Amino acid sequence: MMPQLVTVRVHSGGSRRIRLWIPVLPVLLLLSPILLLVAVASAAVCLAYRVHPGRALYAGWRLVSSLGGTRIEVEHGRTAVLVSLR
Amino acid sequence: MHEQRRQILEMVAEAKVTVDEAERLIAALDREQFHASSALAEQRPPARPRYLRVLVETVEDLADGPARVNIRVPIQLLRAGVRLTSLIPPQALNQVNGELRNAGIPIDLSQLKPQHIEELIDHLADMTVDVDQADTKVQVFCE
Repeated sequence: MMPQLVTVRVHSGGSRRIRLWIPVLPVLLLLSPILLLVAVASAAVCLAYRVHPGRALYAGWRLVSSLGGTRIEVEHGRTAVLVSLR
Repeated sequence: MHEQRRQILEMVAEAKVTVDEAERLIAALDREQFHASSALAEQRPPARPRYLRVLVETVEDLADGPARVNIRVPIQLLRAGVRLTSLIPPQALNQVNGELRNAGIPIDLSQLKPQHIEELIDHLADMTVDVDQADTKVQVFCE
């Protein structure tokens, strides 16, 4: 299943903290006009390289769907960054 | 199993067996149940790993203090990545294979099939990479 929520936390020492909870579906809907253009451009590239656009779309979808559960946490000294996809 | 237990209790109530005998019978039943469940557990295939974990820890850095990296990647992503290789145009695949051969890595990416990745994932469950240095510790494992 596609990730529904992206959590980003940045703590750069002191009291500076950024916490973002990004709901994926609303953001995708908001970006849908751009995504449509990207899809058309990708299809053109696929055809130019003789790759079936449907297969490419399916593989891309599988890749995005499998991102759920990814968690990247980096701490260095007083700075910490967390990116989590759920 | 509950039925057998009830039969034993009924036999006690009807004074067909003594309490001690009933206790022994129930203990024997418990043992039988334990053996059956452990045999079932042995038959069950081991759980497949779901995530690849990479942990890196460095001890006190002179400038900024210690560093820590904790990455969890779903194994599913590995499968999706292999599917992506099937989209690489043949001429590009040949070029990549050639470059890999030149670098001393004789891997033919065109032979990489989804069923191979399943075998690889099955064996990843047993894999653990531990690198211990004086100032750095790296761990790669599946969970």
